Amino acid sequence: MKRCLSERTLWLVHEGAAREQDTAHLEGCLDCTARYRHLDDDLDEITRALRDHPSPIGRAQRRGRRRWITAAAIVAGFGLLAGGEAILWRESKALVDPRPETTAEALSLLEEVTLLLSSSGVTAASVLVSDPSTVIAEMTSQESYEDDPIAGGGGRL
Amino acid sequence: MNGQTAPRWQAHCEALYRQHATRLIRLGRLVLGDQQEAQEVAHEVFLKLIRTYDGPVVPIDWAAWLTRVTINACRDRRRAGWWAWSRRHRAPEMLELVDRGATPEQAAAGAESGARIAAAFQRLSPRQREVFALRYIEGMSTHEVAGTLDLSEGSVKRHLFRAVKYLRGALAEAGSEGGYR
Repeated sequence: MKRCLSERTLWLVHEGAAREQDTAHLEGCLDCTARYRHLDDDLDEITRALRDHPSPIGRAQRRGRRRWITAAAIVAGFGLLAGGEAILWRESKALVDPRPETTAEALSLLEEVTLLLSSSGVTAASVLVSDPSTVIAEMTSQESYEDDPIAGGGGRL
Repeated sequence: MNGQTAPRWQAHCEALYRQHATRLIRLGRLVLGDQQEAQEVAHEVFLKLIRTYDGPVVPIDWAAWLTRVTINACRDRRRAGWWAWSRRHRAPEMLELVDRGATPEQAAAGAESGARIAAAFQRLSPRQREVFALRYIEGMSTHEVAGTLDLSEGSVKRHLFRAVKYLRGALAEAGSEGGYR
């Protein structure tokens, strides 16, 4: 007995594009005839379903599309916000940051303090080495000496 | 278009619309998977027909012409970047496989089976969808399908057989899960 028809050959018979010998086999084979009927029923079923049934995807697809658009809009909004914030922060930092001036001011202040200390007889070295209370007492005594008109030589009189 | 032919042409277009609109919308729905887009495509096709025509009404095979133009319009729409992107990124859970409107059990099983087949159809490649829709829904011959889609008959048969095989698998699956058929 000749081998039964493959699915593709069976389908070609259904399409009217099979060879004569395949069609002849189908007529004489109960199994292939049953399979052919099954194929025919399936195609009817599929065709009817596609013709009659509304698309299951349309609404869900539109909803999905809306969701993606919303998500993309939110992400874009956050991106814009972050970008704007970054630009503003950079500009405000450039305006506010006084670091170079502060350094110059601090240096000049230190110079002035050093000059003041050296002119008042307290050397920077003594300030660093000695006890702070001793230095303060020494400076106070010098000031009181200068304020005393007698001890100061009566310069202010 | 002169003053005499314009009303005749308009009447002819209206007759064509009445005759073919439903069929073209169905074809567009199957190819694109979206009823609303299919309606838009059908309207585009008829608008194109009305606007571009210039001359007397000649006897041509309007059914074949409209089918071909509709398929091309669907392809144009499918090629649009955002459309392809949204379809690629569509989550599987968004597929509505059950018709929630049907209340009787048998009707629900039938609707579910139909929805599963329709969903399986949308998972076919665009070419397979076009070929299947033209051959089995529109009832064209393989030769006509090949002419409409600019394909060889062998290529049409190959796409068609793959589509049939896949859809039969989906149908068997729906039948075994839902106890349908």
